[in-house]
Amino acid sequence: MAQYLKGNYRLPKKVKPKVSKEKPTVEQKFEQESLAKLGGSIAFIMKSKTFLWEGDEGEKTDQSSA
Amino acid sequence: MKRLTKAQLNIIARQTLAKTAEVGWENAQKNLPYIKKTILGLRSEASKRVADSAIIASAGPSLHRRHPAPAILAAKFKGPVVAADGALGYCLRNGLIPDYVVTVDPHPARIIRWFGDPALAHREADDYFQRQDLDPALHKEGEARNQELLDLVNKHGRGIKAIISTSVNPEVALRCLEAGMELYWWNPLYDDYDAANSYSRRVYQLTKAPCMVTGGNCGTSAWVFAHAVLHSKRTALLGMDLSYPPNTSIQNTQYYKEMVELFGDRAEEAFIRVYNPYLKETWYTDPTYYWYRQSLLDLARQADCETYNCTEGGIVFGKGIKFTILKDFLERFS
Repeated sequence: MAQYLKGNYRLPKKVKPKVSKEKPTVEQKFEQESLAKLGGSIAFIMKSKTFLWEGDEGEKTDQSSA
Repeated sequence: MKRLTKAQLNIIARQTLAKTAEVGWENAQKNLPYIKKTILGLRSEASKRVADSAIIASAGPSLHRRHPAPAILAAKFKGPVVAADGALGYCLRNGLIPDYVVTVDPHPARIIRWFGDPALAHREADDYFQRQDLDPALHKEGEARNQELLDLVNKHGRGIKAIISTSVNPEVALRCLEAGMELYWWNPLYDDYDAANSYSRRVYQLTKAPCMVTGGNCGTSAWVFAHAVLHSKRTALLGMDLSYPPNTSIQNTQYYKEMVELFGDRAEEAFIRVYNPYLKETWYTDPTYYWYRQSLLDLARQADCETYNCTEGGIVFGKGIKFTILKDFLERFS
C-alpha cells in the first residue's frame, strides 16, 4: 500500500516510527511464552561457585544429621 | 531453531523455578518425618575412600545403546558408582549395583517408577515411559517390568544409599525406605539464598539439610554430588546425552507433547541440531535439554575436578569436559 500513499508535501520534521526496546515483538513474545512452557526437572541457580550451601556462617551446625 | 541465547535460557530457568519450587517446598514439609541424615554425613565416608574417581550413570539413550555395565564390572572399577534415578533399573538389571542413587524431580507420580512402583496398577494412564528412550525396558510389558524392578530394588536396596532431595514426592521416600535404603537428604538450591523470600533459605531453615546445585536435572545433580560431597577428583559420565540420536523420531522425545502444542506441524523445526565433532554426528535436542547442556558445561568449567564424558553419544562437549571413550577411562583409572 505504501507505494500508493505518497504525499505531495514535505513534513517539517522527519518522523521515525517509535520502536520500544522494552516491548517484545509478537514473534519474540510467542518465543518467550513457548520457552516458558518447557521447564526442566528442578530449579537451577549457581551463586559464586558455591556448589553446596550450608547456611550462613552463624547458622552452620553439624549437619550430618538433620 | 537456532541455538538459544542467554536470555532465552533464562526464561527456561525462571519457568523451571516457577514449576518446581512451590511443589518442592510442599514436599519438603511432607518429607520432614523421614529426614534424619543429610548428605554431609557422607563426607567422612568419602575421605576414607581410596579411589578418587567416580562414575555417574544417567538415563540418556546411550546408556542402553552403548551398554557400559559389562565393561565397568570387568574392569573391577573401585570408585563409587552414582546412578541418577532413571538409570537405576539399567544398572540393577545388568549386575552393576550403584553405591548411590540420586533423586530430585518433584513430579507426583512418575519418579517412583524408577524404583518400582507398588501402586502402578492404580495410576492414571501415562505414556511418558513408553514414548521415550529413557529406559526402553519399560516400553513393553509395563507391569511385568515394574514387578521386576520392584524385586531388584528390594533385593539390592540395603546396599544402596539414596541421595534424596527434599523436593521429591514422599511416596519416593517411602519406597526407598521400604527397599531398605539409607536416606541422605539435601535441598535443591532453588534460588539466591540472599534474596527476599528465598525458597532455598526457607527450605534450608525447615530441614537443616544443605542446598546443592542441581544443573536442572537428576544426572547433573549426581555429578555435583560426586564433586561437592564425595570430592571425586575425576568423574566419568555415562548416558549423559542431553539430546536425541540422529534417527530418533520426535514422538520419542521428552517434550514432544509440549512442542506439538506450541509449534503444531512445525514442531520439528523447534529442535536444535548440534554437530558433535568427536562422533562426527549431528544430534538434536529440545530447548530444555539444551539448557541442561549449557548448565552442565558452565558447572564443569567452574569445578576443580576433571570431568570425562564417556557417554559416547550426545552433545556434552566443550571447555571443562574431556570427551573420551569409557574403555580409556577404565584403563587409566580403575
